[in-house]
Amino acid sequence: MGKLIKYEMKKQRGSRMVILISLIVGIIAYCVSLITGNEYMMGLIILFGVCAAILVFFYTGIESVLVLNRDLKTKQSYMLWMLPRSIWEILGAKFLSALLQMAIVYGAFCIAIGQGIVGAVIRFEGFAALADLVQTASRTFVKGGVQWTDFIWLAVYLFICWSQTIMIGFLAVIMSRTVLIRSRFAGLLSVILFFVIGFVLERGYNAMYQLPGLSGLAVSLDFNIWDVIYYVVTGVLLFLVSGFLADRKLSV
Amino acid sequence: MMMECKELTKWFGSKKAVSEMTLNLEGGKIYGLLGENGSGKTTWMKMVAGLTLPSHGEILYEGHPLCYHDKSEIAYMSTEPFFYDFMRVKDVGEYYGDFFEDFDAGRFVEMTEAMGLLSEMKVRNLSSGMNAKLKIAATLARKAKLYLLDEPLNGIDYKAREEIIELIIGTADGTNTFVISTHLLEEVESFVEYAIFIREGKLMDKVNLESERMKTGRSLTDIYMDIM
Repeated sequence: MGKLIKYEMKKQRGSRMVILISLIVGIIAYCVSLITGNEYMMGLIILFGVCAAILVFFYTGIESVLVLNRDLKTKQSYMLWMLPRSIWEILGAKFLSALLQMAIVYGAFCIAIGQGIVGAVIRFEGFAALADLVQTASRTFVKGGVQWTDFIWLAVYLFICWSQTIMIGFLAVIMSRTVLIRSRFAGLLSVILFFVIGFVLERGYNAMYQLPGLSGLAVSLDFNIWDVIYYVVTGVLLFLVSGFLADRKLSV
Repeated sequence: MMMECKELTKWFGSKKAVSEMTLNLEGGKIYGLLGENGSGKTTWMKMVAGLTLPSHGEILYEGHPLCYHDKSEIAYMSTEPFFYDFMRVKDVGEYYGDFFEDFDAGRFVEMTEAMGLLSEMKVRNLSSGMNAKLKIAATLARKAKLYLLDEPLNGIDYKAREEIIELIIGTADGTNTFVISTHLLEEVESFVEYAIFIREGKLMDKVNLESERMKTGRSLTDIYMDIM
């Protein structure tokens, strides 16, 4: 599995390097504006950074689906199917490398944002203000009733929602490349399938809360275990169907 | 029997690419898979290599149904370029070394150097002839039990063809099996032991060339013209 992940990561190296180098350039430009006190430039960099971050957030989130589509569209798919590895290992490696790619890119963005805030506070208010800021934030955090478990739940939610999106993407691509393998419309079909499968799962989610005993737990802002169960079960099902289809039907 | 194909059939939509093909391969032999373009050679090879499943029929490898583990003993070379764009020549060797225990990295380097491929060359910049050489080097650097070579001489100049044929003959040691799909009859006649003729997805005949030569004195081309 590790070796499969290694090559999946290499496939995404190009985009990762572009993102990280752009981020470094942005940080340097931000630091220069901070040191020179050029607030106009600073504002411009923050605005540009926020826009770029949104784009990167979405692109990195679905990049593994695009890579799978490219693999299946070209003869490069032989590089995977000729290996003495099961389809589960191959798809599993794709999923894990997607996770790793996101961890690297989002981690870098978090560090950059943190560095930006710390730098600005120190530059304009000094170290004492930074210490004050940390203290105030901690107090607000505790007094506001926010708990660490809330953050853990949020992380769990984000992870399972993203996992399900990736699994929907994998299934949509595999289905379209299986059914319409020779068609130039296979890419379009995979996009349509992506939304159709997503819609069906959404209906399933709503239907779950119509079940006796669960109706009282209908969708609310509170975190609830049934959401997690639903996303995990459907995610696993999507993975199994994708693997089964790829194993039985996929032809290049 | 090393490989047994029983009533192998493959449908692509409404088109039958391979039709109820029953064919056995013995270990230690060199087979030529002959037929016109679109006759089903590549589809048959992909099924035997485990790249695509038959619509009907069964493939037995060394007595058991073919499974993904068997790919560790089967070296398949497609006719089209298939290496990742980001790779250099040396990366191809590293990739094969990472996934195939039977891969001989030293032999790969030896072969690529002999064919004029530099380790730092980018795969995406290689000409079709150079790419074909790289594919054959990566495939033959494995010590596989079964080699499936789909049109290995396609797009290759005459001199390089000779080199590749030499490599194939040098790798065939009587313990491994080769199936070479080609339409260049004269090029393979000297070393192929059995000729398998396919037309419109059907097995037309399997001929032992040596005994045919002894019996009738016909060349491979003569037999091809008679059967096909």
